[in-house]
Amino acid sequence: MYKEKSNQKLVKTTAATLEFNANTALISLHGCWLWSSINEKQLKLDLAYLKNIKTLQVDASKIETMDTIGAYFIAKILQHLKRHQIKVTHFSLPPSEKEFFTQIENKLNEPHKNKVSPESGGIITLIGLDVFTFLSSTFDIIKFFGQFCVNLAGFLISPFKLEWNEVIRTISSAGVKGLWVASLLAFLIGVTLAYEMSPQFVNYGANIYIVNFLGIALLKEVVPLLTAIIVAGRTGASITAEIGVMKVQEEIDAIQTMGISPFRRLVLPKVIGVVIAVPLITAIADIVSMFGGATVANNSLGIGYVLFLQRLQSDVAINNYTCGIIKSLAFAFIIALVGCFCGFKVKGNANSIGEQTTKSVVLGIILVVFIDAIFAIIFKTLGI
Amino acid sequence: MQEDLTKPIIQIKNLGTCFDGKWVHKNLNLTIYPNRIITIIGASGCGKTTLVREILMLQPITEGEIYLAGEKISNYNIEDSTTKLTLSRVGMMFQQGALFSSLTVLENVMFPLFEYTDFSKEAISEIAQIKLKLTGLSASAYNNYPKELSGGMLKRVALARTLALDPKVVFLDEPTSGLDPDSAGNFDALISSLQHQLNLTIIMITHDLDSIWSISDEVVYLGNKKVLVHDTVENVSNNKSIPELYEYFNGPRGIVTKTYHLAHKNGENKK
Repeated sequence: MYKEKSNQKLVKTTAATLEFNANTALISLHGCWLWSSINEKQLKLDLAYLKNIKTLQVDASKIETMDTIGAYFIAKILQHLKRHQIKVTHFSLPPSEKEFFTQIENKLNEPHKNKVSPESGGIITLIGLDVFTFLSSTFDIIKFFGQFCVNLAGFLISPFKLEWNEVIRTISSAGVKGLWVASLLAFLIGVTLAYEMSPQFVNYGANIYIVNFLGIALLKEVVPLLTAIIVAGRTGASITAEIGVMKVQEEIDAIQTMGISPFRRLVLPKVIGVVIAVPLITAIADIVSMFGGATVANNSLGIGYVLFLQRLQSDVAINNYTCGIIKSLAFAFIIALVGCFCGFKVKGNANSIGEQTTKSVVLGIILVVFIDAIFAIIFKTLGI
Repeated sequence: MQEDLTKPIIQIKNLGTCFDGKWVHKNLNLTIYPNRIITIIGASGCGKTTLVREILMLQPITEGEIYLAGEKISNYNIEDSTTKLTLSRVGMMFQQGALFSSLTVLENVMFPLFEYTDFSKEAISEIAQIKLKLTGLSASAYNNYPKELSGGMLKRVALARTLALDPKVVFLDEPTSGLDPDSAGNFDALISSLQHQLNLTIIMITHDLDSIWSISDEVVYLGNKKVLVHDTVENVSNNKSIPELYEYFNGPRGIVTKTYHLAHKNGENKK
């Protein structure tokens, strides 16, 4: 009745078949009742033909072989007949399979003590859960920040107790290894901005003002923000994943049972490392971006490198540069803290690491932009 | 479920495994017949797990041949469909269970069924529940995540997942490690009863003398890069040709287990 389904070399099987003889009211099962040779859809189709029958005989004595899944489907056939009030007057199996089949049939018919399908709530429940999750996350972040501050105070009292090797490792991974990416992007942004804006300056015959524009836009705003976004993507994510894996493997519990604060061992070195590294790469990226801008100014606007530098020195206040660096310090702090926080939020499964890493990057970038806006207001108020 | 017991289910011929110039196996020969429990023992680092990984095609071999149910599998490519079908006929229970942490207990057992069959979700769920019931796991744990289970429960779920596709050959890596003696005894009894019910060939790596004595039909001793002894537990325990093996079964700890199990066995025979 079915086509040969299994073509595997290891076990040569014939398809499981169900034949119904209406004259004798007999169902005969043939073939190998193995998972690889059973076609459930065909089986359901065959059973659908059995209508207006009161009694039936089931002959499974000719089946060649049977596994648990085959036994399950035969038991399901009997269940189907019972549900449709078809009385089975005779049921036969090969003697060797009887005991095994009975076991599987009993397991299938065992009542479920617990509901197996997961419960799903209504929309109100879901909204409530979301609000609760948001509030508890906010509370957790504040608590985490508080714990960090306590540990920071401890560090300021005895700075030598800090894991300085870990700090250096973080500086290396966040700073040294991230430098070329930040520099490359800064250079390209410098070139792009200068190219995009140069026609505007040419229109007004104010070519030289490209230096003022680039000096303020790049040093104060674009480069610190861009570097922070790169760091959030690279370092923030890696911190979350690293702490998350440690959490899954109970390494953090191990640290705690040794009486060591995971904050002092893991969070502080990472935050300090990132806070040292990010302003340094921002400073270098600032220079590279200016070089990118100067290259375009030299080629398109006829402003030589020396003139560019002189103008930069005289017209662009050093405050723009220091503001950018101060902002990068705050960005670094928030990225590292969010990275660590999300790492600690990882639950004991592989999915959770992915979720928290994504959250770490997204939350990191949102907070960086948010803080940038606050800084803009502060600097404006202070007249910087 | 009928099987030709005279044909080997696994045959390994002149197997050689070399890691960075260091030979782990050299001229290793092993023949395993179906429907029995075989325990592989040997000192740490002798290549027990490597051997199992090679049979499961998780690791390439350097030389020799491996046959599974008469089919040469040692030159299979892991990506081939034939290999996948072959692998569906063998099951492996890893030491730590290797359950998918993001899936519930029931979903873990349903996973291979979804991958290999086109049965309806309802059928797959019911089959998975039967497998879990066969391993004696309480229904209240079906919706739990692996993290929420005890060591014994994890082992049962891992075993249920291993049995999901009714494999003919099942490999168990340290099945009773990390379990208390009672749970280990229960798990041994479960393995033995499933072996009888499902006519499985079970190949087990263990250091647990109780497991070896209570459920193993044969013991394979690996040493000096090859199979040194392959015999019944009793014969292996009395083999004096390898001092460390004799010491293992007849040392201060081993002799207590041996005496207990032999007395138990004789008692049963008298009955």
